[in-house]
Amino acid sequence: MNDQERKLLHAILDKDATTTRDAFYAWSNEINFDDVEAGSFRLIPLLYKQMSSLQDSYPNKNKMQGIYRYFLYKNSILMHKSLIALETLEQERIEYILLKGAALVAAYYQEPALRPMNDIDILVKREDAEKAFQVLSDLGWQPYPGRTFQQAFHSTYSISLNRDDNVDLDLHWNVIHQAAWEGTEKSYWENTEDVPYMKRTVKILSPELQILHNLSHGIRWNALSSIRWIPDVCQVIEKRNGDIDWNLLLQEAKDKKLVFTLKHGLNLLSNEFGVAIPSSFMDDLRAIPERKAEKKLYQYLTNPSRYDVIKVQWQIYNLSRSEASLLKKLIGLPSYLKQSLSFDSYGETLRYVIKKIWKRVRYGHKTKHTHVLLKK
Amino acid sequence: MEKTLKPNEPNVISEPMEGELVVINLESGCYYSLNRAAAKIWSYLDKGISVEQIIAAQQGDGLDETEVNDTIASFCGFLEEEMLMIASASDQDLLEYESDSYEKPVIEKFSDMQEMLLLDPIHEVSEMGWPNEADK
Repeated sequence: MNDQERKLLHAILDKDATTTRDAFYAWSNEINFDDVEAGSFRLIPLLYKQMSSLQDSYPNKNKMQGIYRYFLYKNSILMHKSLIALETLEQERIEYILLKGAALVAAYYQEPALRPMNDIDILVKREDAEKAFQVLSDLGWQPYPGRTFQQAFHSTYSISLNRDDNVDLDLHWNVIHQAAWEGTEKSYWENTEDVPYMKRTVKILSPELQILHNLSHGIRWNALSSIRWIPDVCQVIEKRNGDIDWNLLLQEAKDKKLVFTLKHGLNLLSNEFGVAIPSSFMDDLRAIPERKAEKKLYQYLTNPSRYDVIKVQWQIYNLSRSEASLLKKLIGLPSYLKQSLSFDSYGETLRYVIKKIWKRVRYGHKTKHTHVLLKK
Repeated sequence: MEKTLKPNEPNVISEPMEGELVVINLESGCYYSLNRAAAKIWSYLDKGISVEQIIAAQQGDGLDETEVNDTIASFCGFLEEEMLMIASASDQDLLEYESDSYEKPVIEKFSDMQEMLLLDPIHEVSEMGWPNEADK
């Protein structure tokens, strides 16, 4: 999060009118609205809502109102056009859970414009994933060129599907990138709640898993700055503060080896944005000994200059087999890398790994990492 | 028999926004912007008040009755044609009609969904913001 993003987030999240205005004008004076970063752009509807509740006139109001209308339209059309997917999964008796944007709109934001999204994320059980893919495929949703379901199923936790009318779906069989090894998905199905969505009832994750998912997903560095995880998690905590089972959240973070990530994310929300998190919970979280692999994985994923696919995969693999001996881990590593990197043979995998290591030794980290801007 | 209409839900959604009402037909992808007067008529229809009652309430104050009648009837007809509202059985009495001066209901339609979704809401719009395209 850079300084401009920090100001923008304060303008959106602060409860006090004076500090909200101060943050807004500080942000507004510092940026050129035409050059706003894509990650910040996605927060404009929230900013518009917040500022319009405080005063009638402010810089760039008409454009901000237009951006609110744009996302009201875009999200409403997306949600409507993807309903057929949900209806058909139900007809085929395939259970599903709505994730991310659609779930947050349904249960927390209420207004579709406030949580911009590019696709609808649907979680199905691992054993139903292939059938669900077939069902969606029959409705016209296809993987992007160069990707197949089988390849994605064996190497990752979801597949992006696109239809001719540009309505995108993400079909998931697991949820969090850093903790997508087999078995971690079980608790999502044990912790759901029913909410109304487009005149029907759908399942979404419980608030505890909603926090863990959105925080762990959003905290990773992305070329499209993903700071929206901050208002997302704030929404969940503020709206459900009374009935969040903090012990469950702690247990889930331990099981999914996300203690370090959760601790850092919640520390930020509490220290920077004053989000009310029980101090006893934060004490419990801090008291858990830091796991080296969790810390390293967090550092690789949050700092683009330290990101390296081999190191990331090694740490995920390491965490997924935390009880195994080093020897057992090393024996299983080639097979894991071949699968997770989607290679057909061990030879290809080895060549890729050697090439990566050589490049790193030879050139170091010289790539410039910047957030994407909107087109002009 | 008086004519009553109701929003064609769930295929149509509406959201009031500072003096305008945004209405979206999710089936056709058409987007509509209603001015304050049109939004007021929409809200009365939504409450189950008949078209005839709304027209009757707008008469007076030296207005041309035929013109008011035709304008409101035509506006309500357009809502039906566009499938934004459909016939309903409700028949509520118009208890109170805000008696500010008559304003012509205006509804603006944006129908090219693909074009609207591609219209960059920062760089390609007029001062009024999306979906109003900047002059080229």
